[in-house]
Amino acid sequence: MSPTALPRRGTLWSWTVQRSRPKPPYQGPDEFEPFAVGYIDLGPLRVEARLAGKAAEAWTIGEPMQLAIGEADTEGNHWSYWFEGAPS
Amino acid sequence: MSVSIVGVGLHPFGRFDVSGRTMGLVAANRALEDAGLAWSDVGFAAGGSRDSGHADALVSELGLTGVPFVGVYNGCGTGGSAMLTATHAIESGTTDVALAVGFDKHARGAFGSNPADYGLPDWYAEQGLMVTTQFFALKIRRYLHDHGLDARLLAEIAAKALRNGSITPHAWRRKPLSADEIASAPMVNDPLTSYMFCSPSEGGAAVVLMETSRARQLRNDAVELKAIEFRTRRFGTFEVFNPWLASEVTHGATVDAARAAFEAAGIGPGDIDVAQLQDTEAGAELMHLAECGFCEHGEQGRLILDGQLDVGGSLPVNTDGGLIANGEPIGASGLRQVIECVVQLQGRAGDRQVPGTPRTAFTQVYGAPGISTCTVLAR
Repeated sequence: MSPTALPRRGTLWSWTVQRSRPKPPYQGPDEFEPFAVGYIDLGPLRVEARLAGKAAEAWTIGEPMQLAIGEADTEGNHWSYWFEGAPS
Repeated sequence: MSVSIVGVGLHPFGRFDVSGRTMGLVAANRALEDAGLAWSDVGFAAGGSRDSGHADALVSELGLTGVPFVGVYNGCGTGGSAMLTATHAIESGTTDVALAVGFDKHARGAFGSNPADYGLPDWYAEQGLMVTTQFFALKIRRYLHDHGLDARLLAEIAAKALRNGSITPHAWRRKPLSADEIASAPMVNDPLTSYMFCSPSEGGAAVVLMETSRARQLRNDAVELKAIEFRTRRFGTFEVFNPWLASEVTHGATVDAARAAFEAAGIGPGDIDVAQLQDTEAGAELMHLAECGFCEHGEQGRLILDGQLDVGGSLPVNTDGGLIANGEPIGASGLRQVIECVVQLQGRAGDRQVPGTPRTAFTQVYGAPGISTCTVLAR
Protein backbone atom coordinates (compact mmCIF):
# COMPACT_ATOMS: atom_id res chain seq x y z
CA MET A 1 0.00 0.00 0.00
CA SER A 2 1.18 3.52 -0.67
CA PRO A 3 -0.35 6.97 -0.06
CA THR A 4 -2.29 8.41 -2.98
CA ALA A 5 -3.31 12.04 -3.33
CA LEU A 6 -7.05 12.38 -3.87
CA PRO A 7 -8.79 15.28 -5.61
CA ARG A 8 -9.99 18.01 -3.25
CA ARG A 9 -13.11 18.59 -5.30
CA GLY A 10 -15.95 16.30 -6.16
CA THR A 11 -19.74 16.00 -6.17
CA LEU A 12 -22.18 15.06 -3.44
CA TRP A 13 -23.14 11.40 -3.90
CA SER A 14 -25.53 10.99 -0.94
CA TRP A 15 -26.26 12.81 2.30
CA THR A 16 -28.31 12.76 5.48
CA VAL A 17 -28.73 14.79 8.66
CA GLN A 18 -27.63 13.55 12.10
CA ARG A 19 -30.44 14.86 14.28
CA SER A 20 -29.50 13.39 17.65
CA ARG A 21 -26.25 13.36 19.57
CA PRO A 22 -24.14 10.32 18.60
CA LYS A 23 -23.07 7.99 21.43
CA PRO A 24 -19.50 8.20 22.84
CA PRO A 25 -16.74 8.52 21.73
CA TYR A 26 -18.39 11.37 19.76
CA GLN A 27 -16.65 14.63 20.61
CA GLY A 28 -18.96 17.46 19.68
CA PRO A 29 -19.83 20.66 21.47
CA ASP A 30 -21.94 20.27 24.63
CA GLU A 31 -24.84 21.98 22.91
CA PHE A 32 -25.83 19.56 20.14
CA GLU A 33 -26.76 20.99 16.76
CA PRO A 34 -27.91 18.68 13.93
CA PHE A 35 -25.23 18.29 11.26
CA ALA A 36 -25.08 16.91 7.73
CA VAL A 37 -23.05 13.86 6.67
CA GLY A 38 -22.45 12.64 3.15
CA TYR A 39 -20.34 10.76 0.66
CA ILE A 40 -18.43 12.89 -1.81
CA ASP A 41 -17.62 11.33 -5.17
CA LEU A 42 -13.99 12.24 -5.89
CA GLY A 43 -13.68 10.07 -9.00
CA PRO A 44 -11.30 7.32 -7.81
CA LEU A 45 -13.49 6.74 -4.76
CA ARG A 46 -16.16 8.26 -2.53
CA VAL A 47 -15.22 9.59 0.88
CA GLU A 48 -17.52 10.03 3.86
CA ALA A 49 -17.36 13.35 5.67
CA ARG A 50 -19.32 15.92 7.57
CA LEU A 51 -20.82 18.64 5.40
CA ALA A 52 -20.80 22.26 6.49
CA GLY A 53 -21.45 25.74 5.20
CA LYS A 54 -25.24 25.77 4.94
CA ALA A 55 -28.38 24.47 6.61
CA ALA A 56 -28.06 20.77 7.45
CA GLU A 57 -31.09 19.76 5.35
CA ALA A 58 -30.31 22.00 2.34
CA TRP A 59 -28.08 19.64 0.34
CA THR A 60 -28.74 18.12 -3.09
CA ILE A 61 -27.23 15.02 -4.69
CA GLY A 62 -24.83 16.02 -7.45
CA GLU A 63 -23.84 19.46 -6.21
CA PRO A 64 -20.14 20.42 -6.45
CA MET A 65 -18.13 20.07 -3.23
CA GLN A 66 -14.68 20.96 -1.98
CA LEU A 67 -12.51 19.89 0.94
CA ALA A 68 -12.06 22.13 3.97
CA ILE A 69 -9.52 21.50 6.74
CA GLY A 70 -9.81 22.74 10.32
CA GLU A 71 -7.67 22.65 13.40
CA ALA A 72 -5.97 19.60 14.83
CA ASP A 73 -7.50 17.97 17.92
CA THR A 74 -6.18 19.06 21.30
CA GLU A 75 -3.44 16.40 21.30
CA GLY A 76 -2.51 17.13 17.68
CA ASN A 77 -3.38 13.55 16.69
CA HIS A 78 -5.47 14.33 13.64
CA TRP A 79 -6.81 17.25 11.66
CA SER A 80 -10.53 17.69 11.31
CA TYR A 81 -11.87 17.94 7.79
CA TRP A 82 -15.22 18.41 6.14
CA PHE A 83 -16.65 19.23 2.75
CA GLU A 84 -18.52 22.35 1.77
CA GLY A 85 -20.26 23.56 -1.37
CA ALA A 86 -17.96 24.63 -4.20
CA PRO A 87 -18.58 27.04 -7.07
CA SER A 88 -19.66 25.02 -10.11
CA MET B 1 -29.54 -35.07 2.82
CA SER B 2 -32.76 -33.14 3.28
CA VAL B 3 -33.60 -31.26 6.48
CA SER B 4 -37.04 -30.26 7.77
CA ILE B 5 -38.36 -28.11 10.58
CA VAL B 6 -40.47 -30.09 13.04
CA GLY B 7 -40.86 -27.58 15.87
CA VAL B 8 -40.84 -23.84 16.39
CA GLY B 9 -40.93 -21.76 19.56
CA LEU B 10 -40.98 -18.05 20.30
CA HIS B 11 -40.75 -15.91 23.37
CA PRO B 12 -42.69 -12.76 22.39
CA PHE B 13 -40.63 -9.78 21.24
CA GLY B 14 -40.70 -6.47 23.11
CA ARG B 15 -39.71 -5.42 26.61
CA PHE B 16 -40.03 -7.86 29.52
CA ASP B 17 -38.97 -8.31 33.15
CA VAL B 18 -37.08 -11.54 32.49
CA SER B 19 -33.52 -12.14 31.37
CA GLY B 20 -32.51 -12.72 27.76
CA ARG B 21 -31.41 -16.27 28.47
CA THR B 22 -34.77 -17.03 30.08
CA MET B 23 -36.39 -15.96 26.81
CA GLY B 24 -34.05 -18.29 24.93
CA LEU B 25 -34.96 -21.10 27.29
CA VAL B 26 -38.70 -20.46 26.85
CA ALA B 27 -38.28 -20.48 23.07
CA ALA B 28 -36.24 -23.71 23.10
CA ASN B 29 -38.74 -25.52 25.33
CA ARG B 30 -41.68 -24.34 23.21
CA ALA B 31 -39.94 -25.55 20.04
CA LEU B 32 -39.33 -28.96 21.60
CA GLU B 33 -42.92 -29.13 22.82
CA ASP B 34 -44.17 -28.14 19.35
CA ALA B 35 -42.10 -31.00 17.89
CA GLY B 36 -43.25 -33.44 20.57
CA LEU B 37 -39.62 -34.14 21.39
CA ALA B 38 -37.50 -34.00 24.52
CA TRP B 39 -34.16 -32.22 24.97
CA SER B 40 -32.57 -35.66 25.29
CA ASP B 41 -33.59 -36.35 21.66
CA VAL B 42 -31.45 -33.44 20.44
CA GLY B 43 -28.05 -34.56 19.10
CA PHE B 44 -26.65 -31.14 18.24
CA ALA B 45 -27.45 -27.53 19.09
CA ALA B 46 -26.30 -24.11 17.93
CA GLY B 47 -27.25 -20.71 19.25
CA GLY B 48 -26.26 -17.16 19.80
CA SER B 49 -26.87 -13.89 21.58
CA ARG B 50 -25.14 -10.49 21.52
CA ASP B 51 -25.92 -9.15 24.97
CA SER B 52 -27.40 -12.02 26.98
CA GLY B 53 -24.60 -14.47 27.54
CA HIS B 54 -23.51 -17.77 26.09
CA ALA B 55 -26.13 -19.85 24.32
CA ASP B 56 -24.50 -23.12 25.31
CA ALA B 57 -25.00 -22.18 28.97
CA LEU B 58 -28.72 -22.97 28.41
CA VAL B 59 -27.79 -26.62 29.06
CA SER B 60 -27.91 -25.75 32.77
CA GLU B 61 -31.70 -25.64 32.48
CA LEU B 62 -32.36 -27.70 29.34
CA GLY B 63 -30.42 -30.65 30.72
CA LEU B 64 -26.82 -31.79 31.06
CA THR B 65 -27.02 -34.44 28.36
CA GLY B 66 -23.50 -33.82 27.03
CA VAL B 67 -24.90 -32.66 23.67
CA PRO B 68 -22.50 -30.66 21.46
CA PHE B 69 -23.71 -27.02 21.54
CA VAL B 70 -21.93 -24.51 19.28
CA GLY B 71 -22.13 -20.80 20.07
CA VAL B 72 -22.40 -18.56 17.00
CA TYR B 73 -22.31 -14.82 16.46
CA ASN B 74 -22.74 -12.92 13.18
CA GLY B 75 -24.29 -9.64 14.27
CA CYS B 76 -27.85 -9.22 13.00
CA GLY B 77 -27.39 -12.44 11.01
CA THR B 78 -26.79 -14.56 14.12
CA GLY B 79 -30.12 -16.44 13.93
CA GLY B 80 -29.40 -17.47 10.35
CA SER B 81 -25.96 -18.72 11.34
CA ALA B 82 -27.39 -20.77 14.21
CA MET B 83 -29.80 -22.42 11.79
CA LEU B 84 -27.08 -22.97 9.18
CA THR B 85 -24.84 -24.63 11.75
CA ALA B 86 -27.63 -26.89 13.00
CA THR B 87 -28.59 -27.79 9.42
CA HIS B 88 -25.01 -28.74 8.57
CA ALA B 89 -24.90 -31.03 11.59
CA ILE B 90 -27.82 -33.02 10.17
CA GLU B 91 -26.53 -32.94 6.59
CA SER B 92 -23.14 -34.24 7.73
CA GLY B 93 -24.76 -37.17 9.49
CA THR B 94 -23.70 -35.97 12.94
CA THR B 95 -27.27 -36.21 14.21
CA ASP B 96 -30.88 -36.63 13.09
CA VAL B 97 -32.23 -33.93 15.41
CA ALA B 98 -30.75 -30.47 15.96
CA LEU B 99 -31.87 -27.31 17.72
CA ALA B 100 -31.12 -23.72 16.72
CA VAL B 101 -31.83 -20.99 19.25
CA GLY B 102 -31.29 -17.25 19.53
CA PHE B 103 -32.16 -14.71 22.19
CA ASP B 104 -31.26 -11.21 23.29
CA LYS B 105 -32.11 -8.32 25.57
CA HIS B 106 -30.66 -5.00 24.49
CA ALA B 107 -30.44 -1.63 26.18
CA ARG B 108 -32.81 1.05 24.86
CA GLY B 109 -31.76 3.27 21.98
CA ALA B 110 -29.59 2.65 18.94
CA PHE B 111 -26.62 0.31 19.25
CA GLY B 112 -23.37 2.07 20.14
CA SER B 113 -20.26 0.89 18.37
CA ASN B 114 -16.58 0.78 19.26
CA PRO B 115 -14.37 1.87 16.29
CA ALA B 116 -11.59 -0.58 17.20
CA ASP B 117 -14.01 -3.52 16.84
CA TYR B 118 -14.36 -2.61 13.17
CA GLY B 119 -10.70 -1.80 12.52
CA LEU B 120 -11.49 1.91 12.35
CA PRO B 121 -9.62 4.85 13.92
CA ASP B 122 -11.20 6.71 16.85
CA TRP B 123 -11.60 9.93 14.86
CA TYR B 124 -14.28 8.28 12.72
CA ALA B 125 -16.57 8.00 15.75
CA GLU B 126 -15.32 11.19 17.41
CA GLN B 127 -16.49 13.18 14.37
CA GLY B 128 -19.96 11.66 14.62
CA LEU B 129 -19.75 9.45 11.53
CA MET B 130 -20.03 6.05 13.26
CA VAL B 131 -23.80 5.89 13.58
CA THR B 132 -25.70 2.94 12.10
CA THR B 133 -28.84 4.95 11.32
CA GLN B 134 -26.79 7.38 9.19
CA PHE B 135 -25.72 4.50 6.99
CA PHE B 136 -29.29 3.40 6.33
CA ALA B 137 -30.28 6.95 5.43
CA LEU B 138 -27.29 7.53 3.14
CA LYS B 139 -27.89 4.25 1.37
CA ILE B 140 -31.61 4.64 0.81
CA ARG B 141 -31.34 8.26 -0.29
CA ARG B 142 -28.94 7.26 -3.05
CA TYR B 143 -31.04 4.21 -3.94
CA LEU B 144 -34.21 6.30 -4.29
CA HIS B 145 -32.25 8.77 -6.44
CA ASP B 146 -30.75 6.08 -8.69
CA HIS B 147 -34.05 4.33 -9.32
CA GLY B 148 -36.43 7.28 -9.42
CA LEU B 149 -38.42 6.09 -6.39
CA ASP B 150 -40.52 8.32 -4.13
CA ALA B 151 -39.58 8.57 -0.42
CA ARG B 152 -43.31 8.13 0.27
CA LEU B 153 -42.81 4.39 -0.31
CA LEU B 154 -40.80 4.25 2.94
CA ALA B 155 -43.82 5.44 4.92
CA GLU B 156 -46.07 2.92 3.13
CA ILE B 157 -43.70 0.05 4.01
CA ALA B 158 -43.58 1.07 7.68
CA ALA B 159 -47.37 1.39 7.74
CA LYS B 160 -47.69 -2.16 6.42
CA ALA B 161 -45.28 -3.42 9.08
CA LEU B 162 -47.26 -1.80 11.90
CA ARG B 163 -50.57 -2.95 10.38
CA ASN B 164 -49.28 -6.55 10.40
CA GLY B 165 -47.81 -6.09 13.86
CA SER B 166 -51.20 -4.98 15.16
CA ILE B 167 -52.64 -8.45 14.38
CA THR B 168 -49.61 -10.44 15.56
CA PRO B 169 -49.77 -11.56 19.23
CA HIS B 170 -45.99 -11.88 19.67
CA ALA B 171 -45.16 -8.48 18.11
CA TRP B 172 -43.89 -5.53 20.15
CA ARG B 173 -45.49 -2.64 18.22
CA ARG B 174 -49.22 -3.40 18.15
CA LYS B 175 -50.57 0.04 17.23
CA PRO B 176 -51.15 0.70 13.53
CA LEU B 177 -50.16 4.11 12.15
CA SER B 178 -51.07 5.67 8.83
CA ALA B 179 -48.42 6.40 6.21
CA ASP B 180 -49.13 10.11 6.78
CA GLU B 181 -48.44 9.82 10.50
CA ILE B 182 -45.22 7.91 9.79
CA ALA B 183 -44.05 10.38 7.13
CA SER B 184 -44.66 13.38 9.40
CA ALA B 185 -42.97 11.87 12.49
CA PRO B 186 -39.64 13.38 13.62
CA MET B 187 -36.71 12.66 11.31
CA VAL B 188 -33.96 10.47 12.74
CA ASN B 189 -31.69 10.65 9.70
CA ASP B 190 -33.35 12.18 6.64
CA PRO B 191 -35.27 10.74 4.78
CA LEU B 192 -35.99 8.19 7.54
CA THR B 193 -38.37 9.12 10.34
CA SER B 194 -38.55 7.52 13.78
CA TYR B 195 -41.35 5.10 12.82
CA MET B 196 -39.43 3.79 9.81
CA PHE B 197 -36.73 2.18 11.97
CA CYS B 198 -36.76 -0.97 14.03
CA SER B 199 -35.43 -0.61 17.57
CA PRO B 200 -33.28 -2.97 19.61
CA SER B 201 -35.66 -5.11 21.68
CA GLU B 202 -35.88 -8.43 23.54
CA GLY B 203 -37.04 -11.89 22.64
CA GLY B 204 -36.19 -15.51 21.95
CA ALA B 205 -36.69 -17.89 19.03
CA ALA B 206 -35.89 -21.55 18.43
CA VAL B 207 -36.44 -24.21 15.79
CA VAL B 208 -36.05 -27.98 15.92
CA LEU B 209 -34.62 -29.50 12.75
CA MET B 210 -34.80 -33.12 11.73
CA GLU B 211 -33.68 -35.26 8.83
CA THR B 212 -36.65 -35.13 6.42
CA SER B 213 -37.63 -38.80 6.23
CA ARG B 214 -37.81 -38.97 10.03
CA ALA B 215 -39.53 -35.58 10.13
CA ARG B 216 -42.34 -36.85 7.90
CA GLN B 217 -42.91 -39.77 10.24
CA LEU B 218 -43.06 -37.39 13.18
CA ARG B 219 -45.59 -34.94 11.72
CA ASN B 220 -47.30 -34.62 8.35
CA ASP B 221 -46.98 -30.84 8.29
CA ALA B 222 -43.19 -30.70 8.70
CA VAL B 223 -41.72 -27.87 6.64
CA GLU B 224 -38.80 -28.79 4.42
CA LEU B 225 -35.78 -26.52 4.38
CA LYS B 226 -35.18 -26.56 0.63
CA ALA B 227 -32.15 -24.30 0.88
CA ILE B 228 -30.14 -22.21 3.33
CA GLU B 229 -27.27 -20.10 1.97
CA PHE B 230 -24.95 -17.67 3.75
CA ARG B 231 -22.74 -15.14 1.93
CA THR B 232 -20.39 -12.35 2.95
CA ARG B 233 -19.78 -9.16 0.96
CA ARG B 234 -17.64 -8.63 -2.12
CA PHE B 235 -15.42 -5.65 -2.90
CA GLY B 236 -17.43 -2.53 -3.62
CA THR B 237 -20.60 -3.16 -1.61
CA PHE B 238 -22.16 -0.30 0.39
CA GLU B 239 -22.09 -1.37 4.02
CA VAL B 240 -22.28 0.25 7.42
CA PHE B 241 -19.21 2.09 8.83
CA ASN B 242 -17.39 2.73 5.53
CA PRO B 243 -15.19 5.86 5.64
CA TRP B 244 -14.93 5.43 1.86
CA LEU B 245 -16.71 3.57 -0.91
CA ALA B 246 -15.45 2.18 -4.20
CA SER B 247 -16.31 4.29 -7.24
CA GLU B 248 -18.60 1.54 -8.52
CA VAL B 249 -21.01 0.01 -6.02
CA THR B 250 -21.31 -3.77 -6.29
CA HIS B 251 -24.45 -5.72 -5.39
CA GLY B 252 -24.69 -6.79 -1.76
CA ALA B 253 -24.28 -10.22 -0.14
CA THR B 254 -28.06 -10.66 -0.22
CA VAL B 255 -28.01 -10.98 -4.02
CA ASP B 256 -25.48 -13.80 -3.86
CA ALA B 257 -27.21 -15.57 -0.97
CA ALA B 258 -30.68 -15.32 -2.54
CA ARG B 259 -29.53 -16.54 -5.94
CA ALA B 260 -27.70 -19.47 -4.37
CA ALA B 261 -30.74 -20.36 -2.25
CA PHE B 262 -33.12 -20.32 -5.21
CA GLU B 263 -30.70 -22.36 -7.29
CA ALA B 264 -30.31 -24.96 -4.55
CA ALA B 265 -34.09 -25.09 -4.03
CA GLY B 266 -34.81 -25.44 -7.74
CA ILE B 267 -37.48 -22.72 -7.70
CA GLY B 268 -37.45 -18.99 -8.38
CA PRO B 269 -38.68 -15.82 -6.67
CA GLY B 270 -41.90 -15.99 -8.70
CA ASP B 271 -42.77 -19.29 -7.02
CA ILE B 272 -42.69 -17.89 -3.46
CA ASP B 273 -46.02 -17.53 -1.61
CA VAL B 274 -44.83 -15.63 1.50
CA ALA B 275 -41.55 -13.96 2.47
CA GLN B 276 -39.84 -12.37 5.47
CA LEU B 277 -37.15 -9.84 4.53
CA GLN B 278 -34.73 -7.90 6.73
CA ASP B 279 -36.39 -4.53 7.40
CA THR B 280 -33.98 -2.89 9.83
CA GLU B 281 -35.66 0.19 8.43
CA ALA B 282 -38.21 0.63 5.68
CA GLY B 283 -35.56 1.26 3.02
CA ALA B 284 -33.97 -2.12 3.70
CA GLU B 285 -37.20 -3.93 2.76
CA LEU B 286 -37.49 -1.79 -0.35
CA MET B 287 -33.97 -2.69 -1.52
CA HIS B 288 -34.12 -6.32 -0.43
CA LEU B 289 -37.26 -6.93 -2.49
CA ALA B 290 -35.18 -6.34 -5.62
CA GLU B 291 -31.95 -7.85 -4.28
CA CYS B 292 -33.76 -11.13 -3.56
CA GLY B 293 -35.21 -11.13 -7.08
CA PHE B 294 -38.87 -10.41 -6.33
CA CYS B 295 -38.84 -7.43 -8.73
CA GLU B 296 -36.43 -5.30 -10.70
CA HIS B 297 -34.72 -2.33 -9.03
CA GLY B 298 -37.10 0.61 -9.31
CA GLU B 299 -40.23 -1.54 -9.72
CA GLN B 300 -41.04 -1.71 -6.01
CA GLY B 301 -43.55 1.14 -6.15
CA ARG B 302 -46.13 -0.93 -7.97
CA LEU B 303 -45.86 -3.83 -5.49
CA ILE B 304 -46.15 -1.53 -2.48
CA LEU B 305 -48.85 0.87 -3.64
CA ASP B 306 -51.03 -1.91 -5.12
CA GLY B 307 -51.00 -3.76 -1.79
CA GLN B 308 -49.24 -6.79 -3.28
CA LEU B 309 -47.03 -7.08 -0.17
CA ASP B 310 -50.01 -7.12 2.21
CA VAL B 311 -51.21 -10.34 3.87
CA GLY B 312 -53.84 -10.72 1.15
CA GLY B 313 -51.57 -9.70 -1.73
CA SER B 314 -49.69 -11.71 -4.34
CA LEU B 315 -46.44 -11.65 -2.32
CA PRO B 316 -47.08 -11.07 1.39
CA VAL B 317 -43.87 -9.74 2.97
CA ASN B 318 -43.12 -9.47 6.70
CA THR B 319 -46.49 -10.86 7.67
CA ASP B 320 -45.75 -10.62 11.42
CA GLY B 321 -44.68 -6.98 11.10
CA GLY B 322 -40.99 -7.73 10.53
CA LEU B 323 -38.29 -5.98 12.49
CA ILE B 324 -40.17 -2.68 12.42
CA ALA B 325 -43.02 -4.10 14.52
CA ASN B 326 -41.02 -6.71 16.46
CA GLY B 327 -37.81 -4.82 17.13
CA GLU B 328 -34.52 -6.58 16.90
CA PRO B 329 -33.18 -8.92 19.55
CA ILE B 330 -30.10 -9.70 17.47
CA GLY B 331 -29.69 -13.36 18.35
CA ALA B 332 -33.36 -14.20 17.77
CA SER B 333 -34.35 -12.04 14.81
CA GLY B 334 -33.34 -14.31 11.92
CA LEU B 335 -35.04 -17.30 13.53
CA ARG B 336 -38.24 -15.29 14.04
CA GLN B 337 -38.42 -14.87 10.26
CA VAL B 338 -38.12 -18.63 9.73
CA ILE B 339 -40.73 -19.34 12.41
CA GLU B 340 -43.19 -16.91 10.83
CA CYS B 341 -42.80 -18.70 7.50
CA VAL B 342 -43.29 -22.11 9.14
CA VAL B 343 -46.53 -21.13 10.88
CA GLN B 344 -47.78 -19.53 7.64
CA LEU B 345 -47.05 -22.73 5.69
CA GLN B 346 -48.78 -24.78 8.39
CA GLY B 347 -51.87 -22.58 8.34
CA ARG B 348 -51.63 -21.55 11.99
CA ALA B 349 -50.86 -17.85 11.65
CA GLY B 350 -54.22 -16.70 13.04
CA ASP B 351 -55.48 -13.26 12.01
CA ARG B 352 -52.48 -12.70 9.76
CA GLN B 353 -52.75 -16.05 7.95
CA VAL B 354 -51.98 -15.72 4.25
CA PRO B 355 -55.06 -17.01 2.40
CA GLY B 356 -54.98 -19.81 -0.16
CA THR B 357 -52.69 -22.35 1.57
CA PRO B 358 -49.19 -21.03 0.94
CA ARG B 359 -46.79 -23.80 -0.07
CA THR B 360 -43.47 -21.99 -0.39
CA ALA B 361 -41.70 -19.37 1.69
CA PHE B 362 -38.49 -17.35 1.75
CA THR B 363 -36.46 -15.60 4.44
CA GLN B 364 -33.58 -13.15 4.24
CA VAL B 365 -31.56 -11.87 7.18
CA TYR B 366 -28.88 -9.23 6.64
CA GLY B 367 -26.29 -7.87 9.02
CA ALA B 368 -23.16 -5.81 9.44
CA PRO B 369 -20.68 -5.71 7.91
CA GLY B 370 -22.30 -7.18 4.81
CA ILE B 371 -23.57 -10.67 5.53
CA SER B 372 -26.76 -12.34 4.41
CA THR B 373 -28.45 -15.69 4.96
CA CYS B 374 -31.44 -16.72 2.83
CA THR B 375 -33.69 -19.74 3.16
CA VAL B 376 -36.30 -21.36 0.95
CA LEU B 377 -38.97 -23.38 2.76
CA ALA B 378 -41.75 -25.60 1.44
CA ARG B 379 -44.59 -27.83 2.57
